[in-house]
Amino acid sequence: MNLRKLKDKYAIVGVGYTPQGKVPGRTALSFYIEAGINAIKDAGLSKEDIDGLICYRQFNPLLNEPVATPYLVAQHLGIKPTVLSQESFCQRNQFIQAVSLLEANFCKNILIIYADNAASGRRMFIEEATHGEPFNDNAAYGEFGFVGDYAMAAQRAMFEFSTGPETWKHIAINQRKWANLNPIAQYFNETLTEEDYINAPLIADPFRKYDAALISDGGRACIVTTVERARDLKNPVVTIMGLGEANPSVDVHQANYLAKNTGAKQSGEMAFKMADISLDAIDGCEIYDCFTYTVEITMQDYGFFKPGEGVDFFKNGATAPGGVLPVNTSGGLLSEAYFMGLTPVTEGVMQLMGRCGDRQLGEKTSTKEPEIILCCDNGGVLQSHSTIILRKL
Amino acid sequence: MELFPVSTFDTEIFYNGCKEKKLIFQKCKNCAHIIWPNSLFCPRCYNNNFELIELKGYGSIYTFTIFRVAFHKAFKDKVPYTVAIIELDEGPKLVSNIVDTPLNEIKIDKKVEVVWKSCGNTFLPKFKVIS
Ligand SMILES: [Zn+2]
Repeated sequence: MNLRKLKDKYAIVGVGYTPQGKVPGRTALSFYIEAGINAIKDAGLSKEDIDGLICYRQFNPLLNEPVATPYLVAQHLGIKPTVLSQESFCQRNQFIQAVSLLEANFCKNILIIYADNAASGRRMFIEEATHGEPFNDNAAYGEFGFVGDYAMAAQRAMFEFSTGPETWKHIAINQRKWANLNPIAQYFNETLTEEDYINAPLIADPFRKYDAALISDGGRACIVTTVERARDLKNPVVTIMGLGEANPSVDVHQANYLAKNTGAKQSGEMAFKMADISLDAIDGCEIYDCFTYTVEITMQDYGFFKPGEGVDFFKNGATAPGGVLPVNTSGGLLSEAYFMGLTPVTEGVMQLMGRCGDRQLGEKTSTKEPEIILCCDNGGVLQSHSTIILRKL
Repeated sequence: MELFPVSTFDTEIFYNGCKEKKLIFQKCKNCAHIIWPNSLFCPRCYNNNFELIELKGYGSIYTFTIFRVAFHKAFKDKVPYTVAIIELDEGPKLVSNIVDTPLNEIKIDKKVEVVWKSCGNTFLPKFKVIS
């Protein structure tokens, strides 16, 4: 598979944000619409230009509201896209799908959106399968999904190599420092110390409160098109330099990839090969961080450090503002807000466009001016992984 | 209240065994793979001829977590409790609970044996650490 011809051929030309955090009284659909409209406006496009709409998965509606189907989203956006799509169970192929549709010329401008009202609707982490009540047989044993599953992966990692809270606390704290520079982050006003991290209650061993992602109201969107078209639009051109994907698929309970060779390994190799660069070309990372451990295992499988050396990699604020390799510069899913893979990807785009205010990479945060940012997304319980390397032209 | 597994066309092989406190699995007659979860076809060779075998009920803890928070009202009075992935000696990995074992003795790689616990009108295989 030679993907090099796709390198720097497509671009992300606009991003859409909404009020986020706890925003009571709103439907998930309303956040979809607001994020979508804002992305279209941000790109300087009009709705007639959008001929592809890809929605992330939609969890079951929480309040008295309709399911935010892609039909409804398209209707309310006033668009009739040639291609309309929504993933169901966290397979993270949105960007590969978008680039494929553009490459084959089925579409010209593709809008990708995720939104939810999970904070106001008090969505539980266990609700991974669009059911309010657990239906999986594992529930009979009190095993309800994401938290326990990732906790068991992390516990296995602690057995296979040197890791644990002493590593993860650095990840949580470094990301919180970025969030403290980001006024829209849910934890903007709250610092996190080592004592806060360690003293926080255990949820499911070995995870404590601050190992887990936030639950958020709000939406996030972006638009993918060709670099050729991007040059005529108003924002600085941010290209998709590399793309990778892998779907190990096997249920985490039968899997052998909990602590090594997750999808990140194969997906990362694919993306770096397409981008024709090595790790040392990366100026910053936006890593999908449903849990602190996810950041560690992803970056370990990408090859940033050897198994067990994560603690040395993350300590002393190495990935925090002023650090040698900034990671999750918005605060990420742990400290900014949860919009699946669009939290990392839109932050990567914003950084490369130079629109990040006090958290802007470069002089402002005593970090390197970014040219290339590595982003990723991860779905299911390490069952799906995608890698998106972005570059400022 | 209690949550129950639901036996389906695919999984009734396993759950019928549970009713008799037996760990019954499908073994592929073509490649000898022990299939788990239950399926109409062997995922290795796509054969659909099986024999049913009974596993001995011994294995080790592959990984585990201790739930400190009840994510469902059925477990409100049960925290803290342990969920584990048990790697049976014959190969399959089962989600289950570690029972009849002090929390501080629960560690990865510890040997376990099956303990059948009643659940509604059937039994579920749970595991205890053995020395
Ligand atoms: Zn077979």
